Amino acid sequence: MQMKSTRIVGFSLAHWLLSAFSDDRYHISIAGDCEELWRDIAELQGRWQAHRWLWSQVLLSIPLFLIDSLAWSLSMFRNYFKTTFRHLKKHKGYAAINIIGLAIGLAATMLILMWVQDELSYDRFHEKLPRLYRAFTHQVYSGQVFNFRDTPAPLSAALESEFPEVERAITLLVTRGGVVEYNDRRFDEDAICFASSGFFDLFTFPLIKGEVGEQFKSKSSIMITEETAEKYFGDDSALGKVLRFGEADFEVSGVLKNIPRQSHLQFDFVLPFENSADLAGINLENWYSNWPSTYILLKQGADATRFAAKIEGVIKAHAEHSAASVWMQPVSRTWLYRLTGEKAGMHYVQIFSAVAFFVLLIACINFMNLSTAKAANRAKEVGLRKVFGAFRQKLIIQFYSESIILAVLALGIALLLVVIGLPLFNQLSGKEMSLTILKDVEIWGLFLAITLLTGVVAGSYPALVLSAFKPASILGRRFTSSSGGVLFRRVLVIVQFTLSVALVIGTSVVREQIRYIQAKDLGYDNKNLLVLRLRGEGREKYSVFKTELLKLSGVEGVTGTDKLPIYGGNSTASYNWDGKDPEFSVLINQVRCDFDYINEMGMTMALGRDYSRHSSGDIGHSYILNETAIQRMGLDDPVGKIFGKEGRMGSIVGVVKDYHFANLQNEIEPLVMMVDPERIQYLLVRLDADEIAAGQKAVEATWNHVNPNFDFESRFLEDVMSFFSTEERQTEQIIAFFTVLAIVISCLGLFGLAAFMAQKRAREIGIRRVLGASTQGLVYVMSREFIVLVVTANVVAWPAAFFMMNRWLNNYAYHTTMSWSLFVVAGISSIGIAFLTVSFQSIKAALMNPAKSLQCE
Amino acid sequence: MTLLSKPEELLLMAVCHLQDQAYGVEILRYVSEKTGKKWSIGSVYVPLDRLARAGYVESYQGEPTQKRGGKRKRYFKITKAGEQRLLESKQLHDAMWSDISTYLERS
Repeated sequence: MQMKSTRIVGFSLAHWLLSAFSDDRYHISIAGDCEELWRDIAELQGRWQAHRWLWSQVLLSIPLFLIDSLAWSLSMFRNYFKTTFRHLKKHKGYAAINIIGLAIGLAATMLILMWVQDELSYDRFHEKLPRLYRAFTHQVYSGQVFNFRDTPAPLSAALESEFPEVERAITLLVTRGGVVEYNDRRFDEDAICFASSGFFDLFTFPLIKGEVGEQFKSKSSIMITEETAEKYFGDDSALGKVLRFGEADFEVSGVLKNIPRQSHLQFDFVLPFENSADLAGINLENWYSNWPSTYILLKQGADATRFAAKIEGVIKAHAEHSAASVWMQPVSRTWLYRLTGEKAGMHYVQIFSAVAFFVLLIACINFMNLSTAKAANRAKEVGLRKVFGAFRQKLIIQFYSESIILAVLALGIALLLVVIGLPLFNQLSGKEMSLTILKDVEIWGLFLAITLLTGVVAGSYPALVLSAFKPASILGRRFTSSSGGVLFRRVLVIVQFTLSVALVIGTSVVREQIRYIQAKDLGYDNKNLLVLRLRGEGREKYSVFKTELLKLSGVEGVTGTDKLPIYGGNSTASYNWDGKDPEFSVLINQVRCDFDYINEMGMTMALGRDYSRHSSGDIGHSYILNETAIQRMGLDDPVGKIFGKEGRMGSIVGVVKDYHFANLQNEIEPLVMMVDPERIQYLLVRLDADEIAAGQKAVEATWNHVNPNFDFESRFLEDVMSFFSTEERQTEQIIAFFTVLAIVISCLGLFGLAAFMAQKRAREIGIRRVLGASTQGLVYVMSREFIVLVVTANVVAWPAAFFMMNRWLNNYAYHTTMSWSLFVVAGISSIGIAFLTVSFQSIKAALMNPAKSLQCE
Repeated sequence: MTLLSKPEELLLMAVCHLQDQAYGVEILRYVSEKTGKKWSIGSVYVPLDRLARAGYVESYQGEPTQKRGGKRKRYFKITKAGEQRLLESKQLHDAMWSDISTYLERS
């Protein structure tokens, strides 16, 4: 059957398909068989039939070949597993360093990502979240813009009736402080929410008891959370029970599921908003008083931007002289952003994400570094495998699967570390995260992807570079590892240490800033100052307390105020003074206090006189302002000038030197102080520094004697203040924690690398030693290379860290300056740590008997 | 000892029967003819590959022909182990047949 060989149309594709899927050994003969049969069929039945036959062959055979090759590669994979574990066993130390380093890095990243996830999940549970907005006011005083969450109480009703875009708008107020009675029991509650009736139309707070829609059936209905119900009624049904707030009774009409921790609204009770008039002193009709919050639910499809522009002037339309315009912010952004849209908590989310990324990067670099270093040792293995017929492709698969297996092992250990470390991390971060977050499929996917990526990247060098080596050159004696690999490793070490040094500098700057804030001269003395909060009728007993307390021996002084110098004050622009431009207004914070407040707190007067019990009219008619206020008001000779609000006009008797009456993130604002002993809410007791414990006990005894209705609760002002900087403190602790981890991981890597280098250079060291090199000299020779790398890393890290931390510090109105010593300390310590790590190995190598190292090979 | 699958067994017998002529096309023709079914190229080569890996057949390259587009044939040849394996297989069949022959004859 002789036939001319002609090109058969469509044949080459079929041929290619078959050969691509079948074993290399057979594909030529398979193609030949196909061609032979094709010609037979073509001769008998025509080309068309022959083609049909050919393609049916292709389609039928490919699955068979595929299944077959899969079965083989599975058994090969078992082989990869086996070689991997053999390899691990052989190099236990190296494997441990490599896996543990990566595991720590992965665990740290997981923890931070959990934290980030937690922060980002705030308020996400509201079903109508995309349409929910919070209105806020934008107020301009003497050219300065202030943003407040506070809005006028009638705003929500006006928005609802005047704008078709609004589906529902509500007014809401969460107050601190209020006494709740049930039978004979009294509790001081500090999370009471007053809300108008659309509350449940906007927010998703599920009811577990009571009828939906019945919650606001009368003015005296109240809803409580599950937790609160248990606190008051135990196992009894809460529905229908009566709670007493001040003079009014409220009947429980519903029990809410506990408010999720990740909600910016936190409360235990919900009362109809009308009650806020009696219980919180809100004027329900006043457009000039900005106090409660307003939330808006827009209709489906409403254009938020256009709507925001429309409502800007709504307050002024109702109240001609109001300084406030209405703006709005999506509820989804309330937790992480300021009203103006600047990042607040988002800052930390970003910082932490960056830290997580850095730590992971360092750990991955380590993993790659050690893998590549070790891989060079395996060149001979590669050569041998090749000689025995291993294909390059198979070697690539082998190296990849090895490093992926290691990475997956590290992931397993990392999970274990997360489980163990979570309680510690919660303590550090002040969160209550649980492992339930690990149920999240996305998080799993992310970690798995990170792990696999690390494995693949780390495996790439040995897989792609080593597998390409020619066996002859590897197995011959002259083989040296490629200089490319060495350079690559050096760059990786530099990157790693750059990140570590930058983290160290960052942490110390944050710490410096916290220390700066704590040590800052506040303008008064906050040492040994005990704070007692007066509640209920306790307020009326202020003077009784004061007289009784002053009799105690450990008490140096007693005074009182309505606001601690941390919370700031409530501010108003309604003050007038001599020569005030009617167009011009200054927003002034107000503090009410006792006669001796300035003196007892250790503040200093800049001008004029302090308050005095002896000058009649100091209550209500004498004012003391701070320096900033005088400056903003533009008064030249303030003392004696007429000053005050309508109905309470008086004169300025003195000027107090600026002191920090709000937290330190803010600049000092104008302040007016007035004497009003009846409105004092905090008793401040200065204790003798030598008898603090005794003094505190004596104060407690007096408290119980005078006011037995409330339990004694006292805190030192300093502690309350540090509570206010917990955010910074937690940031510092978290970053410090991860910085330490980053350094540990970097050093682990360096340790492994140094060990590897020492081993590689064993013969060189031996020869040097034989030729008379000293131990110190050898350690120097061995360490030099690494020290140069770490120094380079410092050179890169310093400017980068300076730039980043400068931006961070600029968030604070009062901030420390970065001293060069921070950088030097970070530099020296990084070099020191690197040297110690490396020298352990190099000393070991230098002390080795040269006879041994020269004998082998 | 793992048992041969039916295709493996049939192909091993085909290779044994065809002797010098045992290459893809002939094997395919022979088993298709005997079984009355159409065997695909894949269904011949995959079991043959298994047999080769198990050491029951060997393969060697033959001469290229015009008809094959200049591609060499690959001939298969049964090994001693393969012959042994076929005999064992037959013994097993015979033994089991003798156990059931009485029932089959009766029906």
